[in-house]
Amino acid sequence: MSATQLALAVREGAVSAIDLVSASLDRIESVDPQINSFTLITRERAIAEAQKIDALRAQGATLPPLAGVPYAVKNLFDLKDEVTISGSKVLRNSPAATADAFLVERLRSAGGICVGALNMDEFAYGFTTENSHVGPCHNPHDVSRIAGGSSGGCGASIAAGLVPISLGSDTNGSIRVPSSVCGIFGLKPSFGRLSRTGSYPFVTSLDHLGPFARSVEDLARVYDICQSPDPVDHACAQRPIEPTFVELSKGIDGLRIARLTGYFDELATPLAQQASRLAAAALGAESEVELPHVDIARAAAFAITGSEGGSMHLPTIRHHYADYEPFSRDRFISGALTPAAWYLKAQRFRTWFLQRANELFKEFDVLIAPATPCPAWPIGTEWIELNGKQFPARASMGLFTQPISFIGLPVVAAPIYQEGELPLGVQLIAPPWREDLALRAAAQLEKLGVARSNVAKDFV
Amino acid sequence: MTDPNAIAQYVDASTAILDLHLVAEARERVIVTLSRTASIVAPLMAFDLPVEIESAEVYTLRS
Repeated sequence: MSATQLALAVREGAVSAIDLVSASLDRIESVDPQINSFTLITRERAIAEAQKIDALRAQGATLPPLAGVPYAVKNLFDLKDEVTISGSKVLRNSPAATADAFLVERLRSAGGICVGALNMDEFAYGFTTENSHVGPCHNPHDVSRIAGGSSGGCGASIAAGLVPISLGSDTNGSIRVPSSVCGIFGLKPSFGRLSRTGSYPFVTSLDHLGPFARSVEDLARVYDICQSPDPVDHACAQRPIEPTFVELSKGIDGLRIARLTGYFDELATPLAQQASRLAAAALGAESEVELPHVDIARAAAFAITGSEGGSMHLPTIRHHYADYEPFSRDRFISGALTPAAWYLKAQRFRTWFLQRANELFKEFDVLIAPATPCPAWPIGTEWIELNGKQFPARASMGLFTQPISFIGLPVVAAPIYQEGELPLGVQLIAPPWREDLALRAAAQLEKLGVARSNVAKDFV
Repeated sequence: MTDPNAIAQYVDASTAILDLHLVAEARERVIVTLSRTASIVAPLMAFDLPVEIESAEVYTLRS
């Protein structure tokens, strides 16, 4: 059942919050060892929150919109009285968080029940959630394969039917990549749209937070609940709440939609190109357009990521090198050595590239591109081949997402299942602050059955 | 900067300035990683940005 359906069932008294959450927790404990999506199960907290919801209902109070709905969060979100580990070993002995993260508080106030924290690449520096400290997260559609990253636990927990919604982060693709390869919907909002207060940072110039769900309706509802200006987060835009759920019924009437080609076709496998074409055909997008110098945008995001991430971790890596993730510690050190000229050029290129994107948005409302160059590959893969060229696997899952998050555009990742294939999603990219347009396009794809998100067949 | 010797010298000088001591294996991996990054970043550094963007401030005062 979707989050919307579960909330309705609780509101109507068909099921109590305690029964719903208990069943959820039992299922997580039973099933999750197969996929390793959870790093922490917050049973006591969840039971206490569920009891409060049931008490409210017994009093005849109006229940908040997510009352009784279980959710989980990537383990870089602060949860009160729990240690925020951000996928790491070095933070395990840190003091517990004294308060929930801002977005967790928003979900709690809406009646959502937090059931736990989710597996991720250490410090969010990865696209595969092959975490050496706690083990890899497995893709429910084929447990020998990656769940994507860095929010792999977010994607896998939903694809396995353990929770209907989750919260993750996306710096270079970490919401969109797991959404794509786990076959679920994900929203990376505009940069600065949602508060990052109470989340462990990775690259402050590029970090976004956002929701995952198995339906566009749920995605829009959760996003709307998360919206709020936050003066504590200086990067959070002080914008009013702009509801998107009410916009979904408009469909794609009046929307001008185009498919991105060039870079997004050259590096895409035939399956990824086909996903993009299927979405374009379903949305009536006859135009194909190119963004200039997308490869340079990706390079610039690469430089900013390494530099900011590396600089932030330098003091800790200096003394705890061996405790860092082998897949990322040398990238952190290398990043900390980034010449200032590279970093500043990369930051300045953002302005130029955003200008080019906004020129396209004068003619189009939504742009379509594959979310990943290919579906999930086997865990442990080191190299992949894309159209005859060899690429280092782990960095390449973000080839299509990185240039878009670089300029902070809002994106919905919509899952496309092609006959006999693993899921591979598309990006529905909108102008700054227009999450509603991307969500409307995703809703249309879902309505037509072109984008769909089912629980993985082995976990039904 | 794609000359491997130049990158190795850069890594050694930079880590010295930052008082960062790398064991031999880590040093080699960092040199390889930075070399790879240099190749990726080369087109960015060769790209001509308009002067008004190249000279723009990167910091804005906020209250």
